[in-house]
Amino acid sequence: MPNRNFSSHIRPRTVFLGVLAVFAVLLVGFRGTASRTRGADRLRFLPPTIVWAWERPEDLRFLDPKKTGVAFLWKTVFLDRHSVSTVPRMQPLRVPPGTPLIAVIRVEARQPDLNDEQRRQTVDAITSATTLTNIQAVQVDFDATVSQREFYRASLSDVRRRLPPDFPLLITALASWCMNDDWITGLDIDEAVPMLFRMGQNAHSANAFLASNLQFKSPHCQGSLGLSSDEPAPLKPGARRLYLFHPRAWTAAAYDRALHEVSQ
Amino acid sequence: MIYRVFRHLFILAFAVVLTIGPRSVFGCGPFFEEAIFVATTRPDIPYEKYLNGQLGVIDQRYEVTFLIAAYRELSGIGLNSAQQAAFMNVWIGQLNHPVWPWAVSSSELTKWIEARDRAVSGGSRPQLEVYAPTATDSYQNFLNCPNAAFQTATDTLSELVSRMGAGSPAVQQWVEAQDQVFSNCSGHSAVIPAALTTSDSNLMADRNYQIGAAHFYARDYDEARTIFLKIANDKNSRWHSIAPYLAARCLIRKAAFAGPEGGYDPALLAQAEKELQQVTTDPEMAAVRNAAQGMLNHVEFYLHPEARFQQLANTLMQSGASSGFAQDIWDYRQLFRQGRVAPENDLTDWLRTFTSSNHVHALERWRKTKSTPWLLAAIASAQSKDSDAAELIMAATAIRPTDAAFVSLNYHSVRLMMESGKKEEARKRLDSLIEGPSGPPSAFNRFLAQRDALAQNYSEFLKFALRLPVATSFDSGDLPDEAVSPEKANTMLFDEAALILNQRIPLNLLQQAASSSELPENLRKQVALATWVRAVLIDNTAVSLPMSKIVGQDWPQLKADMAAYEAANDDDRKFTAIVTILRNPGLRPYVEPGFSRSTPIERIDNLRDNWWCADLGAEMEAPNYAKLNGISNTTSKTQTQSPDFLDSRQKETRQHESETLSQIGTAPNFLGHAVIEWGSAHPTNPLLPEALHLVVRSTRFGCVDSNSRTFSKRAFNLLHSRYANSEWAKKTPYWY
Repeated sequence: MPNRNFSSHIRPRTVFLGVLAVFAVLLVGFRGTASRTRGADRLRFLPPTIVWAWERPEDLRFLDPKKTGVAFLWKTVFLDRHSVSTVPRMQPLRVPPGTPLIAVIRVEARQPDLNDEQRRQTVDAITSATTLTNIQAVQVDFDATVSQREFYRASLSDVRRRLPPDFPLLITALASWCMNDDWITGLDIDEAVPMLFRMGQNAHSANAFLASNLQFKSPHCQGSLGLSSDEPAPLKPGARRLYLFHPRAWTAAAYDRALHEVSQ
Repeated sequence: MIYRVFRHLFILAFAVVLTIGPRSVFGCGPFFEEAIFVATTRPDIPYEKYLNGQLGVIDQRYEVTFLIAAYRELSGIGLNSAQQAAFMNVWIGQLNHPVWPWAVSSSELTKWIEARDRAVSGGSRPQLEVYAPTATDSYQNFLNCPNAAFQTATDTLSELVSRMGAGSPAVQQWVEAQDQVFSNCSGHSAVIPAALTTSDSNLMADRNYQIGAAHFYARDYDEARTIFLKIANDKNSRWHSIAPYLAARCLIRKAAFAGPEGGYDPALLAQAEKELQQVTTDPEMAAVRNAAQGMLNHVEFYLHPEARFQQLANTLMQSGASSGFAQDIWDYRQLFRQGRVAPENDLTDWLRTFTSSNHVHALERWRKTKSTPWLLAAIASAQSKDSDAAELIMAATAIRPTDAAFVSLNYHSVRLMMESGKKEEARKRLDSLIEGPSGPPSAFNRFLAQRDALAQNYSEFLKFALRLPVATSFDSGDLPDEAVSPEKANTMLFDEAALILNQRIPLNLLQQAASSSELPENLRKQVALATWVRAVLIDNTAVSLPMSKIVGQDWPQLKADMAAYEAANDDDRKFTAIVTILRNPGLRPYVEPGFSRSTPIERIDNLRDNWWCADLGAEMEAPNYAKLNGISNTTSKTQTQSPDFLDSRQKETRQHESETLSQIGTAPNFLGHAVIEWGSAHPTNPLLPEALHLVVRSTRFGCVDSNSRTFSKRAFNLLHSRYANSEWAKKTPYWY
């Protein structure tokens, strides 16, 4: 017959370890909460909607700067085999005065060694965004493969150390990173935007995941959504910050339509 | 994300940066590999054959630079090796990599850094940034220090080292000053080297030049110009002969920043034009004549686009090579795309006429000139009802097989014959062309397509339905096609033939193709599979039963299923087939052109290429993934005409089959409905729990619509209410 008197079988050492474990869990939980609070605090200046402005002439003067921000491609970092080269934005960007701006740094890996010097130059390129005027945050866009993740993780850690304490560090995230392939939870970042478009092989699992109304696993992914104007939204943004991609230069009509479709 | 851009020379790159934007940049994939049977926007690769006169069927949709090359060949102007190289430069370089070429090559910068580090000892090298923001608070940048700046510095340093010795004080001082010059490239500072006091006039001249360059990169163009003009007047300076050219460059850069948004200040450009004209005609300035001419061309491109267009049009019609020919091609292309006109220029007239299919004008020009380009323009735009069609066909007949226009003219002659009902004549012409010397693969496939449309019987139709792809392409806008890798160079069905098989051929003829050796084995097996599925869907057991034997032999993974299908009683047979289809996501009632589904039929495809969508394969260019995600470029289903070789009875049979098939809809709904209905009447069938599980799976991985959730939920509820303890219920934790 099963013994239901548990206490008589618990040793003092087990009790001690159990208490220790509870403290450890509480400590981790507290640190996690503190980290998220700090991240949320840094992000308080960002509006609920942000449009991505890619490498094309963009005239976004139709936006209401109180409601919508702009994350513009500012620099592309090419990681080649042994070297790093960067190309800044070459196209005009026009925004209304007071628009919250995020500088996006795209990282393109072309079979790089991922050595320390490449990491240093990548970090330099990202942190140099702080020299720009009126920038509220920096967002790194790097579709890192599994073998590139350690480099990315270390680079973000370096970036975080070099950024001013209150300066938000954001990344874009493949949908899978926010779901079953969560390697980003421990990153010292403030937000990871799940890119729920052009999902490729992740499409079916992502849609199934989202259809089940599950929350993204990584806390970094829970505050925002990245959608494209030319694909149906697999998930409504709700209270999350919405990032909108458009495959051509934005127009007021395209922006209105995209917002309307997302809200349907 | 993918990026594209384009290339320019030296300071021209700077100007282009400010004036011509890169094309749209799309996000990530997926990109689906597509077999190309006929290249329609560019010739077959490799382009060398095209440049050597194998023009194939010149398509009116070709990018204009390919048509320029074709015009030169057709009109007898030809292309020398330098001109061929220039076209290749445009096609391989600028058309294929139109984004950020300056990021690709940093060789001159690297050479400079290496030369600098060799020449001086110790000390740290300052960081170099070649781009600068267009304004202090701007997020837009431009290439401030192009490759030529570093090339000049490297050459100067080399000369100085050979004269003064590496590590000498003079070299050290020069390098220090040059570091200051290049520190201005980033646009964040203005660091000007101090004036030099020395008795060495060369060193003095070098320093003055560095001071001018420093002001230039620091964007103080007025001061830089003053210094360069001073150097120009100093006959003792070794820089004096290039200084006027540099002074003109100051004007151009100033013009770029002084003009309205995205444009130049015309007054400053006009002054630069005047000065550059003097430089290009001054014998003393021969060293910079080509560079100055390039700048002058660029200035005129903006200042007098019509005149420049006319000039370029004339240049492109000349037989001799000219320096900057690639740039001329590119500039002409840009202005042509702006709709510029060049009166009396035959090339431009031909391009506009050919690409717009202006038959009246083409005919008028051909009658006047009797030239081959105009004959092609006339016949390519002709329709069989035109009174001149016969005259054009006759004229085309006179063209020799060795002529570059031979293939194009024959293609259009046959087209007109087909349109006018001269099928026998067209057939004969095509048979001789197909059996004749091999031309470009796209042209061969075009002839096969024409011949297939003229098939006199089903066997001929199958024979000419087969193709080898000429290239593969990914869904990536205007990126170049790629050559077909050997392992993928298999015989395939081309689009129209697959559509006819799917939309016009009755089931018994499909069965015939699946049972004979008229098709290559890989295609026969596909047809057999599609025929069995189709027969099941329309309840034609007279075809599905014999086909199940063939399918069982062709597809070992289906052997047991096919045996069960044959063994099933009449009442269970349809349900047994439905379960087989559900078990095998690669089963569908149609054949596919080009590359067929690459995932094994029994496996789920990661990109939703599972079972079928509501169009039953009619939208062939759109993969299921695109249809499902609403990103299909195909706006309407493609419809085909019934082939002539079908008799009225066959056409009627096919019509009945079409009516049944049109009711099928997307696979998850059809299969779900079938299983739920059948299951309600046969609750004890042992296959039912599995079938219900598979229905739910199909609504997860198949081509779903707004109704699919209903079937998913109904199947899920039925499974969990009736068979809660079954392994299939445990494998089905969710519905979709």
